Amino acid sequence: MENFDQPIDMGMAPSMDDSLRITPEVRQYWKETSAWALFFAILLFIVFGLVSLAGIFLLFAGGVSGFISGIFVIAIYGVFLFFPAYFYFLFSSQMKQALNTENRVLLDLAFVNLKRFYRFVGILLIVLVALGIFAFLIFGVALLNNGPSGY
Amino acid sequence: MSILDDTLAHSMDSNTGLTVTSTMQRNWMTTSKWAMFFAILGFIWIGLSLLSMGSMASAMQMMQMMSGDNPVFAMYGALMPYMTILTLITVAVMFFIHFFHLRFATQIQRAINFTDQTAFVDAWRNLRNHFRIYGILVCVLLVFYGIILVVMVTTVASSNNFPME
Repeated sequence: MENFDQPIDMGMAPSMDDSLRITPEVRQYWKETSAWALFFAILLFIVFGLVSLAGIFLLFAGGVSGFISGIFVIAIYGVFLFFPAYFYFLFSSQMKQALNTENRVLLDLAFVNLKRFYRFVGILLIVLVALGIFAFLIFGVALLNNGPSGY
Repeated sequence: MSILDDTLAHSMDSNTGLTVTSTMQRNWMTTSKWAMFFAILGFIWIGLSLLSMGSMASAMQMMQMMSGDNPVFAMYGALMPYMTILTLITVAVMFFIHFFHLRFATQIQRAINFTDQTAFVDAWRNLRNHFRIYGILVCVLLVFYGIILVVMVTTVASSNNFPME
């Protein structure tokens, strides 16, 4: 017997088909991804530490030229290594916490940091590739001008 | 009463508390564009590596043929097949790393644009695979370089054993 007093879609699930659902499978993938991100973050932090040590050594033990190159090493390599590591670390820790505590704000933050990582490394790559092409062109022009036997 | 139970049962399936917001979707779109850029750069790099590997191999072979009895080039000649195989394996692994990254980028864009749940799950699986292969490759390289470092250090140490006279 049909009950005509109640709405036609009674007892059906709320319309979740018009939004993406975070299923247990997706949560598992996020958990594993954040574990690997933490691994990369730790590796990058270790390399950052080693490079900083080398830079500090250059600063104090290298004399004047060592001082300048030490500053360059720490500033350039340090920045290149620190920020990706930091963003990966934030993404990983916030994702883990968000999944454990069902915290949507933390989940949002985690993805913001992942985006920041990608943006930073992307801009860094563009600059490096541009510099590389520029250096290659300069080198090529110099070779063409002088030739391999030019003195 | 049964309506409430149904709603509760269905909401437990998706673990309420964590839902997809528009901020997340915007961040995912930006991330996916950069991921696609990285993947394309990676494929270009793989192509250039294969080209340079091919030209280096033929250059080495030419040097080997021209130099005759030179022991250094003979050693290179012996090692060449192993180096080629190792490089090919590395290139294959790198191909899959960038392939999974590209799949993540395209699938997450599809998921957001068309509210495609299958693509959404696929995207995160591909990103997980990308991270996994990258991580395993890094671990293998670390172990490999660690072994080479140890071998080099022990070789140098043993060759410095000057007899005390």
